[in-house]
Amino acid sequence: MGALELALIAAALLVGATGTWSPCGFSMVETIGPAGHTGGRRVTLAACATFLPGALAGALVTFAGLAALGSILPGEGWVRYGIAAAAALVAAIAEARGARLAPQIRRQLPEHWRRVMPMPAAAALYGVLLGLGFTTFVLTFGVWALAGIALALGEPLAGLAIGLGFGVGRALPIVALAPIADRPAGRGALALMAERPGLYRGIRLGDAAALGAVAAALLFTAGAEAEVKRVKPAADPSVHGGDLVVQRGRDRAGSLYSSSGVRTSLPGTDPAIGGGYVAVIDGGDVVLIGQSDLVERDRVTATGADAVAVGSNWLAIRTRRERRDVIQVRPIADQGLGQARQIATAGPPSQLGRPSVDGNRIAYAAAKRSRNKLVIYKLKSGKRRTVVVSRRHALSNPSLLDRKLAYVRSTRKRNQLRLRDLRGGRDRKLRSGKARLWSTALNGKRVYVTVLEGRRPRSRVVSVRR
Amino acid sequence: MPRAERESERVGRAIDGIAGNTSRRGFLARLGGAMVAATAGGVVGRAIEPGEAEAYHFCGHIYTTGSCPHPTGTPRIDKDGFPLHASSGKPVDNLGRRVDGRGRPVNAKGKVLLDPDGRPLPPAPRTTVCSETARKYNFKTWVDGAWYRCCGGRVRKLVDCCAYSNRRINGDAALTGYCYSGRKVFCVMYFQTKVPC
Repeated sequence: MGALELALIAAALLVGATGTWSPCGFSMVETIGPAGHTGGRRVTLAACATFLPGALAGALVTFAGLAALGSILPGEGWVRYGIAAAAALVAAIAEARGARLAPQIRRQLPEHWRRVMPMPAAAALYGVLLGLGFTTFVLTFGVWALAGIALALGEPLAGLAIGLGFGVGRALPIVALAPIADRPAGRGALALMAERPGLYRGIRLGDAAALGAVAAALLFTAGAEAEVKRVKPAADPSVHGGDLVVQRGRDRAGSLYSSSGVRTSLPGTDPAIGGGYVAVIDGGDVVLIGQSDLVERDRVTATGADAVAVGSNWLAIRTRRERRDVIQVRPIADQGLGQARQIATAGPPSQLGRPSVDGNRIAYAAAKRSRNKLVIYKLKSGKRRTVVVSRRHALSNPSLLDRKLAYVRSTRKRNQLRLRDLRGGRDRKLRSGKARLWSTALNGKRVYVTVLEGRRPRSRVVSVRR
Repeated sequence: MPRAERESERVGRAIDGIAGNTSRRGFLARLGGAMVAATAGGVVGRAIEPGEAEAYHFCGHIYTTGSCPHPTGTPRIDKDGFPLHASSGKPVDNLGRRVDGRGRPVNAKGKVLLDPDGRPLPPAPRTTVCSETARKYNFKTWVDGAWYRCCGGRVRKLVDCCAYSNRRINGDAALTGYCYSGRKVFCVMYFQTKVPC
């Protein structure tokens, strides 16, 4: 979770808490509180225990839903961040000026629920409605801004962060005040909230500051986050920093997408990028190109080459000759490529997958009829380590970066994009579904994967945040 | 209530009244409604209630039960249930006179009223509206739950004065309202906050 998500959570927390000044917020404190029913403090505590998850669920539905909706809308990188930052900034200015709320939602919670159902059940449902955000009075422009940000970014993680902060912010003051609403301290706090407009003004100024910080975080990270997130039609991504290379079309021609979204055609097919280099296959040769100037640095003959990977020190080439897969590596030196060294081989029906190079390590998938495994080979020491193995599922397309390994695990019904922490711990499922997932790529922020559809597959590259 | 605030409330009420008709605010109101529909869906849309309720005899009160006996008529109370002057929000005693913090009668400018000898007028009792109702009707009363609504651009707390009585102040059958434990609404009051909505 980055600085932007933390800023979003903080802003959403404050914006949610501002809702306590709404008619519904006040009503909840009084209704859940011991003086609002016959059950006393015990029922109040039970109602608080159900109100909080209710609010959280409602908020997550709204903001994660808006983020999911945003993810299918067109628009890339800095445009999305620019719109989100503008929404945050406009709301921050309006909050700082204490502008009258518009549009206002002049609706309120159904009062009769507390009479027709047990208080904890009613509290849970009240929580859901308040968490949804747009079902009752809105007391800050921040609610609108957060909705706009979730929609504009289209990032599930951002939606979850906003939902989490908003839900907790909406519930926490109510859960804190309700149990003491019948005591002098609680009555005093409510009276202060009701009779001192300065308090409400103060929290709106807090909203303004938090939204301003969100706008700054969005603008600050816009450059870093402005990277290509999906390409269609395309396949076999490889990524380094914000630059992405893919192959496109039936001739598998290589394309380079810079972080700003500018596309450059590459002089070859099946491209890979890494360590300041781009590698492509040009007929029977593998060509090493500088990433910054796209000038050819070296070229080697590699008959049957159909996949390459490149890092700062090594070029890896997979070849298929006489139905046999071979992965060989060549060191990259100032004067060009060094001697080839074979590191893995597999005869039919076994196969070796597309390699991935990171530093002095290479990862590849080895698929045999008896089992599938993902292997990391240390190029300096020659040590080989199997990091994932399965006798039931297909394992393919690993991508290696630092201590993370992205790969695809396929079962009979589903394909999963997974991220493994090589220091230990459980895999994180980043994407799961019936769509066939294929080659992966990994950078510091995102995991890219090729999605295949149809019998003669149409392919596209999508990405998810790590 | 200070003049500026009163003016603001009056203007706010007027604006709310025309909100649905003017083009920009009408659009914004429709946008708000659309957002409700978009986020909440039909079920929730049906569940939530109008938040700004017009009155039977004061804004926010949506049922027909009459006001509690109040020295100045409109049953505005402070946070502890004592009577306030409806338009100014200043405390009044049981005689309906404005009083200061020490219970002394004061004029509209807050100056202590004097008798012909130059001494402050003696204070009269000031009791909570609901307990005064109990005394007047000779049964015990309770203030149970409450609910808040938006009224004239300010959040307002609607308070029921409850009793074990099947008759309400109107003389006909009482409703449950915000009361519980078998009590029913005898009469109604409100507490006006300074929170805009």
